[in-house]
Amino acid sequence: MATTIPIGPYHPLQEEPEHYLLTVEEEEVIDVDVQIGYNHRGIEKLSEKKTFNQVPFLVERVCGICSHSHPYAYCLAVEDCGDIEVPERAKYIRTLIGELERIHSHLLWAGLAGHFIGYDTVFMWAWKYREDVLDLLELLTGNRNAYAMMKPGGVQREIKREDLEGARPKLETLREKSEMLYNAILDDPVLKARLEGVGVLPREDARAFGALGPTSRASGLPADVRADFPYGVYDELDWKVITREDGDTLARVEVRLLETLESIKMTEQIIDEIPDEGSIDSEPENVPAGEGIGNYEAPRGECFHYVQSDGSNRPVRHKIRAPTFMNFPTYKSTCKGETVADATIILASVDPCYSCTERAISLKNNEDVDLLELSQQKTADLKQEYGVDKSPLEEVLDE
Amino acid sequence: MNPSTFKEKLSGRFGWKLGKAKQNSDRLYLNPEPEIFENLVEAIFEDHDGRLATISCVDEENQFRLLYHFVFDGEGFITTVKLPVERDENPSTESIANLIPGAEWIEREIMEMFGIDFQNNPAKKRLLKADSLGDKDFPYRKDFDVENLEEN
Repeated sequence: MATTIPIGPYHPLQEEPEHYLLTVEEEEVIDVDVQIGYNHRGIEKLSEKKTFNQVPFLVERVCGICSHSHPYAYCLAVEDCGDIEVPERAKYIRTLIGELERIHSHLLWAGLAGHFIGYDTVFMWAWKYREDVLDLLELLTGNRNAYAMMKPGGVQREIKREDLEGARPKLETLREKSEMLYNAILDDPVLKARLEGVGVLPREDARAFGALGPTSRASGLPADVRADFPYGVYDELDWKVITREDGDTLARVEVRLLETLESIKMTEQIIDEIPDEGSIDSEPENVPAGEGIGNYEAPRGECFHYVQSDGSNRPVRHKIRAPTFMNFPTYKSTCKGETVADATIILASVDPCYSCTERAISLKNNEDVDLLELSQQKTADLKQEYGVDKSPLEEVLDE
Repeated sequence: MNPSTFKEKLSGRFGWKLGKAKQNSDRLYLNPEPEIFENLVEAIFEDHDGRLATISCVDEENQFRLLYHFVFDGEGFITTVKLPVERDENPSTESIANLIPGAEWIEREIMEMFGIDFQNNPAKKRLLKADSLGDKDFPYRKDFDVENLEEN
């Protein structure tokens, strides 16, 4: 006899609200249904009321984890619409932040995945090393998240050479630790038993559902926007697209861990090659009437933005499609026939992000100055710890 | 393959019915006659391996326009197929979710946000619209009054 198990919308296992309905026969999952919408904020509608230069700050709040991905995809769409050039140095800065973001996102996921299958040592490790990446991002941009670096035509702020050099030693340790994590996870017989052959997404299903990012690459589809539509400086860097043929949960873990190592390699190359001189903003005057598409390889897969302009200073239509929106429906293929105990890790293995999927609350700025000061103080302390001098932010504040 | 050669291939099959096209080095926008729409989508998805990225719905106030974005990953270009939908009491169009399973959620989102009915969509039920909004409230339409929306 079939039984229905409801999980959520609020459940200790979940960090965001979503509602699953598992239909099970004894231990076997025979059907899954999902209800979302608990985070819907109407960002696409809000975007129509902002100017082209304000939108990046809005879409940065689509997701707290990929807070560089959405503004980047949006800027690519606007630049496509208005044929706007981006200076070389700005491209390097954009790519640098994008890759650091990928490292922190993949480590975050690795930790959560360990937690979901009751292996909290992995959770502790991964999140410990992720903390270092967040420190690096704070060192370079002033924020752990929501970096506010993007604008159509370039980036908002400079990154100084001494800050970049300050990041090097930490990247070196990060690589060692990530390699250690990779080997430890893949050598572990318990993890292997829990992940191998579980929740297989066949290649043809990945294509039919339009699966993206690590989810599709673990099923043998080599699609990666960074390679297929080389925005930023990806065509100048030495890196490879990671794919696996098995399509199971273990393959998705492996793809993400190897991508983390690729991202660390790319970050170091960028620090080597970024020009020290040059403009960071082409200062486009206006966006002509027309339409543009921006696609960007976020940690979870392709972020897709479509922008339509009527020649005024606001978008007429701004469509946002986050990767989880396409990845999540693959549960129909991966969960059926599996056991209840495995359903959680399978559902989690696409690295679902509901905030993105629904994207659509805007909070009024409460201008809490004390909080802002505390945050700036923390960045300053961090810089001292890294042996780096004043940040541009501090210099501005001093003036 | 690039947008020009791809357009030629499609013209060879659909002729003038492919309609006006706009293109540059990595984008192709098509405005086909509605009667060939389904065959065209099938050809792009089945024969040419286009991946359905998403469907954008634009409220042009006198009508809706659906933009089906297909990404050609290995080739590095994006083809957008545009389909106008009449803005009457019950705007509707045919679903493509039976051909492309990935379209199911995309269509359900547009059904809730714009009130366009996708006939034969296999799962017509609420996906993400708030319970406080009625069946006839379509928040992403241009004439939806956001200012007087009560918070709850």
